[in-house]
Amino acid sequence: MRAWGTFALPAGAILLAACSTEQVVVLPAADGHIGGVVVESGGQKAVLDKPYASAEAGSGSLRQETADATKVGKDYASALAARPIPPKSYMLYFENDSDELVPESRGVFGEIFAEIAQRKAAEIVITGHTDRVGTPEYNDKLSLDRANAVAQRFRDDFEKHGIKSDAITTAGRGERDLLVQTADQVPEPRNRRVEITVR
Amino acid sequence: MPSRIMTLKTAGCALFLLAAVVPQAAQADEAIGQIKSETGAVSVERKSGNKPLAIGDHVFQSDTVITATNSSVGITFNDNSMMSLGPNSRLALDQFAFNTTTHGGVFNASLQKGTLAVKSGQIVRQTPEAMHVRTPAALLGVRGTEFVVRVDGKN
Repeated sequence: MRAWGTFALPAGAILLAACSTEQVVVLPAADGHIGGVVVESGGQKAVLDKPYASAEAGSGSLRQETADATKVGKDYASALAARPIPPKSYMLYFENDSDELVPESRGVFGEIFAEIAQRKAAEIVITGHTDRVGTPEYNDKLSLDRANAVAQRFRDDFEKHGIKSDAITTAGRGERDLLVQTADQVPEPRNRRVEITVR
Repeated sequence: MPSRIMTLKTAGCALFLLAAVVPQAAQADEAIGQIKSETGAVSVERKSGNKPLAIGDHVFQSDTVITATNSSVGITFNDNSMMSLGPNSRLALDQFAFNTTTHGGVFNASLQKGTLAVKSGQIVRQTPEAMHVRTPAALLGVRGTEFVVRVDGKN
């Protein structure tokens, strides 16, 4: 019995070390675009850039393989089920030189309020964008002003749908995120927009 | 005397430039994300003390989010990235900075144990690998967008 006891300890220690592995698995992306994950472990490096590309790290080794989709779904079931509802964005367009929404954009608010109702602890992010007329600095300010104007104007409507003002944030992206690429100083109505994100 | 004034002015200018270039880290009192889903018992370890987390609560830089057995939590961050934890997990939110105008920023988190599902957001879209997830044995540079991580066997 005593001899068995002295053998059991090292055997147990080896088993423990072998169990202490880590895994990373890249999932298929909803939008089809996969950049992937760069894994570095123990001086080794692996680039995982395909759906279900996977790496196991631990005990000083880094092993690449392709994970089984069904097994991944099972092993990570709880974390996957807890994923928040992805943020959803809506575009609002304005009449020229005006804070009046174009007719097509007025109906969007019905969709936004329906989306808010689907969520727990919904937040609203209002982001302004400009076209390339004017300097980038001017457009940073203009885009933020537009976002703030929309926040101000629809504050009561959001409040009625359970969104308090501290759950509304605004941002201005200026001319960084053009919907339609243009040369500098080109007026483009489709770039003068405000994006409302529900998250 | 004039040279001394010059030195002070130069130093002031250098500081100003530094502040303009380096993305500002989130202030301690500035929320970086919000709990959107939860089951079971979820809590946070932070300097001001440990407390349970509920849906709608905010998380902050340097928080460690902890799930108990049969518990899970989902968090959406300010750059629209999302992280969710399975049971018996510990996730440290080491560093988060996000500029809503430029989308520049940095996001570093550590999965100490358990299971984690990640969807990267605007920080990674703007700057691939500006987001890292550290585990006890590995460093993951995130190019986007969705992946899962497990530390220390299956739960």
